[in-house]
Amino acid sequence: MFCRPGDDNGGAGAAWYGHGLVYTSLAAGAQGRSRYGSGGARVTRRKGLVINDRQLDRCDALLLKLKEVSGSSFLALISTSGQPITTASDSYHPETLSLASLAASSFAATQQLASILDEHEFTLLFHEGKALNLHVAQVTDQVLLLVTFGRETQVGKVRLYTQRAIEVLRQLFEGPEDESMPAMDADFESAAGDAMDDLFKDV
Amino acid sequence: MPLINFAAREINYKIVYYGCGLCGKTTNLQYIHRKINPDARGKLVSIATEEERTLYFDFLPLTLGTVKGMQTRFHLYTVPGQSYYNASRKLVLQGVDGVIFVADSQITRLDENVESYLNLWDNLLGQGDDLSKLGFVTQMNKRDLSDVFSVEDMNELLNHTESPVTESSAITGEGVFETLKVVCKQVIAKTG
Repeated sequence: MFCRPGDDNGGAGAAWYGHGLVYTSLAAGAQGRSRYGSGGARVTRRKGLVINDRQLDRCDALLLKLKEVSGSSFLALISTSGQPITTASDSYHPETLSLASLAASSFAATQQLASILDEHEFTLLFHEGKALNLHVAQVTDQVLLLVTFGRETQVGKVRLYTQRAIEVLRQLFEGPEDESMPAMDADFESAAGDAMDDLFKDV
Repeated sequence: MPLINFAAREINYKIVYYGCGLCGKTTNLQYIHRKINPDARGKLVSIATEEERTLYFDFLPLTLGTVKGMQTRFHLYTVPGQSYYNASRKLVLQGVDGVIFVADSQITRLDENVESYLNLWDNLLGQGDDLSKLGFVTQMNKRDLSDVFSVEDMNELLNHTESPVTESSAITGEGVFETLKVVCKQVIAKTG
């Protein structure tokens, strides 16, 4: 089963329309990549990121394959600023918004630790639990891959297959950017303002 | 700029509450979490010390609903206010669309306010993003207390960009949603 970010149970409700698959991060300048500041601290810069139907379908197919071969229970692609992109799971379905926010922040902190320790980068984060393990790995400057798996699956197997999947995912995300980014509806601002007035009217 | 997911028909904006220690950032989020329709919000996540001081951040996702066919969300974050947590503040600021600078109106907190304000702009400029696209609101908090600066004086000291100013008492909730609404409308206008 694939779950889009809108399926999260964090008060959001389902928002899966199933067609017109385009994921885009509109960024001013659209040319930023990671850079290293004077103190060696890594600062992630945002850049334009557009994923067309084929790319997102390939991401979903790849996550499904990775879940099967690695024996993992839940996988998610998230942005480094903590936004979920797409997920794959069986029945286990954590609160995706909180998970993405915490995992991205945790990974960013790990990168800072690497900087302090004069290590170029730590490319993965691993949490071992009694019943569940969490593996977070960097795909690109803007994308992270989360994999959860139980005790019945070997860590080495997950790491091996995850690394192979990342090599494919990286090519998908680091390909030429689609310049034909769809613009937001011109009425969106006005409609959003009305929705805000409605949401906040009784508080 | 926000992450817009046309596949899932949703758009996510990141709003960060910034300010010195004990200025009321977390109190803003707690009030929003308490008062808003539970269907419109997710879980309030707080990474705090045993003394309930923010160690890394607080996080609260808000859902505006479906706007023009797009599920619209605001991800609200706070930063740790204490000066020695600057590395954490930089991380939370990554990818920000709108900032609410929460100023503590008490006369005794002037130095902390100024230090935090300068630190905010230092960190924003260090990120290298286009700040003309950033929503920004200055919230003069704790207006219910005595011995506070006038709004005019604080505005002169802590608002060199002449951004919108709101007055609030986060503990009672006065001005909390007004502030949020102003910044939300700004980020949509600037990035939508």
